Amino acid sequence: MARYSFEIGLTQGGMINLESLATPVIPPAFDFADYSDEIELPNGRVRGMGFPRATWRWGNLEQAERTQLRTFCAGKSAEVYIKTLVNDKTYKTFRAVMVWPAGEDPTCDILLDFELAFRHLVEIV
Amino acid sequence: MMARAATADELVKLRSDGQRSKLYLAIHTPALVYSARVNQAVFIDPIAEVAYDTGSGTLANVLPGMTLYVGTSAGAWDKGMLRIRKTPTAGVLYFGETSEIAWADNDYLTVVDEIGLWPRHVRLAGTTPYMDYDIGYSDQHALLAPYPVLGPAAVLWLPTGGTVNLLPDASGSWALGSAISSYLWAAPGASATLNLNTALPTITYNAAGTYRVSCLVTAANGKTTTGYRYLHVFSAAAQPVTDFELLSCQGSYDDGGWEFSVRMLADATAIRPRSRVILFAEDWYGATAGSLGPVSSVENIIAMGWIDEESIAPDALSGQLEFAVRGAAHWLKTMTGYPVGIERSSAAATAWTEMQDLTVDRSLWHLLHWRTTASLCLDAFLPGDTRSLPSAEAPASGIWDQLETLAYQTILAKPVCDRYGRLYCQADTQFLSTAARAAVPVVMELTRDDWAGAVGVTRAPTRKCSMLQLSGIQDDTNGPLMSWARGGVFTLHGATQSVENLLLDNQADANALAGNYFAWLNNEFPNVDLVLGQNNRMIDIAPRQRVSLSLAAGDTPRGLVWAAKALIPRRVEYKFDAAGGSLTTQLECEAESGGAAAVDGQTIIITYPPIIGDGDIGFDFPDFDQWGNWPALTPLTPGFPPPQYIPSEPQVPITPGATCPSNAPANGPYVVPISGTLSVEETYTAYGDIRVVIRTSTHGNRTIYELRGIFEKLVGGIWQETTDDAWYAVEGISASGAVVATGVHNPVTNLRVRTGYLDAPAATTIAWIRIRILADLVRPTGVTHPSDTSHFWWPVTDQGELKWGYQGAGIWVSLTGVKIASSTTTWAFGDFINGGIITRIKIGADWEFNGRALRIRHNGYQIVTPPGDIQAYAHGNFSGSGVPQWEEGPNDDMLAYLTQKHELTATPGQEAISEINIGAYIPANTPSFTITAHQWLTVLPMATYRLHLSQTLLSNVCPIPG
Repeated sequence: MARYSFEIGLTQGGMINLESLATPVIPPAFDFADYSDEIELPNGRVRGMGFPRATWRWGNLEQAERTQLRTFCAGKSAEVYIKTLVNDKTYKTFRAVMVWPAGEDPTCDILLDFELAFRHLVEIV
Repeated sequence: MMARAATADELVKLRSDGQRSKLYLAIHTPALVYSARVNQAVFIDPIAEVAYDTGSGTLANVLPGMTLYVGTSAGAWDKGMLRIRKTPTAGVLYFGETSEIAWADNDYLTVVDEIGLWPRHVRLAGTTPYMDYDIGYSDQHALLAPYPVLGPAAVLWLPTGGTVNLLPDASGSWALGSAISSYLWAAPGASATLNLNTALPTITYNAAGTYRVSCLVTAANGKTTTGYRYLHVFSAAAQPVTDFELLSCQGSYDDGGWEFSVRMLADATAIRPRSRVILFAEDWYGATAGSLGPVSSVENIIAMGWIDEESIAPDALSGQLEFAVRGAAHWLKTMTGYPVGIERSSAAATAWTEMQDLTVDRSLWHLLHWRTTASLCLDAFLPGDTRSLPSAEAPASGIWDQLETLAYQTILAKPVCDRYGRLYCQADTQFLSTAARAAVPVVMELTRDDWAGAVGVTRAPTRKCSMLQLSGIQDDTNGPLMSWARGGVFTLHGATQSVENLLLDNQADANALAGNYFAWLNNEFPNVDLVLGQNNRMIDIAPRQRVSLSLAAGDTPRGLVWAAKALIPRRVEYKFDAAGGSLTTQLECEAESGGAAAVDGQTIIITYPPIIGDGDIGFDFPDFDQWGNWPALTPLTPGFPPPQYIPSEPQVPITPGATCPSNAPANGPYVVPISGTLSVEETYTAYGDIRVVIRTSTHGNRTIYELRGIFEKLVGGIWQETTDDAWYAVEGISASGAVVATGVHNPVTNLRVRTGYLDAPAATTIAWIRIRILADLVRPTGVTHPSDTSHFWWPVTDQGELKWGYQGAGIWVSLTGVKIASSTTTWAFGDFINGGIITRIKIGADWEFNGRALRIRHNGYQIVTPPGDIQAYAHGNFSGSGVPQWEEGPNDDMLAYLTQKHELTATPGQEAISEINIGAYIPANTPSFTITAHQWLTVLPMATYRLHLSQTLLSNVCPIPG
């Protein structure tokens, strides 16, 4: 029974909870930003610009889990669908570009501080 | 097609959070229409058609304007690309005349569905011009073809399983001298259509692809033009190009249009040079999807153009390709056009070089429609100027330069393309009258909710232009107009500038324009740069538009206060953050200048130079030295410039009432632009412009002059410096040419300086200072013509008609219709007769010019003899010289002429009489005959005084009252 509702899939209909994948992946810590950039305005306001972005982060990730996640992003990036927590503690579904991290250490069985970035989030309602 | 103000709803979106974009490229890969192979072995340069065989496809689908590839393999363009110029026939393809293809038999010919921007060259066959190789003149400049305005290219998204509508708008199409009477659209590949015979059809597509639409526009004058546009329909399954990085994207008013550059991240081997590329976006403003832009239905387009220069960099992986995409302005700059020369005709044009009711608009239409394919593929909007233009001329150069020449050098209209590739040729806002500016929309007021960071303001308090002289012709009279701004004296700083040859409404228009132009040259805020914190594509470099900006005193250390200051966008740039998907806008503007704040220029009254001597000679005599042979330049009869050519002297009074207080302080000296050598053999009268009020004897500081130079007198054949001072005059001349002040000479105290004061009855405005030589002039009390053959066998039967007048320091004389006739019904005497003097012209009374050195120049002479065997001689001399100094003849049949000029120098002691003798071979038994003679001469003085003037100064003057 999944404890969280983080999901991922190559299509919206194919989204699966991370904990229900063939190789289950533990729920990540997450960051979510409504805007990818901020612009300071002379009236003191700040304008949020760009697409929302999200980050999934694992302090420890096993190679099997990494391999499971890799099935959604064979290259440097891929278009995926995700369901993730947003800042109001609700889950929302997005079409997103998933960016695979650089600088992996293939000799480690446990990946430390593994981070997946999701950018260009377009909410699917 | 004006710019428009952003709506309240659009402003809310522009000021919202969450503005984001995805960018795409639509690259036109034109479809194959027809293919064939070259079927000829001999090619003569230049070439405009080629024989072909093995054609494949439907020949009827090949349209004029389509692109023709020439290559060494099927579908290749490695040998070059051409434009189909007219409908092909079986076996022959016709294309724009070219010299750039290395033709060979069996080359591959491929016609593709692409109608782009090309030059259409003029060809001269003998002296007959043909447009686009073989289009002869019929009525094309009398009945002007319409210009289709169909809107920019479009990019549409097809919903899955659904359809999408294209809503083109041809209502902006125009026809000079006529009106659009009908529209007929065609949309091959559309799944449904509606209202194709209207300006606003609905065209529906149900499949992704690239489509061509066309509209046949018919004018009320019966002329037609078909315009073409291409649209791209994309779908989830048929995506545009996304694997690229936008490196730059900007439009520049100075450069005339837009360009962008991209780095391709995917395979680009199929992308052809000069392919049309559209950069477009999918945008969101907060929770609202959709793009914002000034033109309905194409808001998603950011910029478009054609691939130009590429940067190819091999690297360890697959290498990188970057290319620049440039708009119509760039391409028209790179295309060289043959010279344009059109003259206004008084009736319907009968040649390519004429046009009735010629205007700047019409000349631009000619260039766009006949010299390029713009009317097929490019929206264009003309200045709307209806002023009559005497002629439209542009030298061979880039076609864009020709557009600028025709538009900017006449009415200060500048061609600029907006980011949709639409061409606007409009007078800049800075040059518009205050009233006309009201129609230029303010797209939006830029508030603190719009711009980010700091506003960069460049302030230029020091003037660049100290005086602008603006001149041109009045459109309805062709009379000259001139205005100077900001006044008659240079401003403290800056350089003088001039704008010439403009087409102007009237003097008030010239003054207003001079004021606005001067204000623009000295714009206090030439650069105002803003970074907008928003995806703002409402603002463009064309058409005419403004934004406004307010600044409070506390906003800047300088305390600048602007209340809705109008700014004119000159450069617009988009920055795109690909990672975050944010697109922002940067503006470079200049503050609006002139308008209600401008000070109109001052009228400069242009008068012809005042006439010396007879006031009834209102023109400069031609330089007879340049006339060449007499017969080639003059009519046979009467053979001399007739008096009616002499116009009346122009009299253009200036505003009277100049005031100048009697206690006006001393000032000057002011330099009057007169220098050089003055003598009766060279320039004997010189004028220097200086518009001031001269003072009188009642003024404490009266107006004085000073001449500096070398004053010489001829003594014994040697020039020597002299203190003689009565041989020249200094005068103040009004704008109408009247002498209003006479120079009174002071005693000479320095050989090389002359001083004096100007004497006038009242303070008077002058336009010039005149210095003229008084000595040595040839001003006879009269001129007579005592012609006489002194022989009763053929006496002078008609003394002819004498006319004369002053010509510079000398005089001109014409004597026409002097006749001698045989005194018998049958000439009984045979052979050569030295007949005596047929024309004698005497200068002055008896011995009036005794001792004066003169030059009498027999400029022309004509003897008309009857048909037959009479052969006339003529020889001329100066009375008393005793020997002929020139002789010409015999001259057969009817006419005899001087074929060169003859110049005689009299010596003292001779009468100033010119004589021309006639002799003739007259066979015996010749029937009665008449010989007629005409003569034209000039009498020029020889100098005994001369002045090498190095400087002319005037002091103690008053300004002209404003």
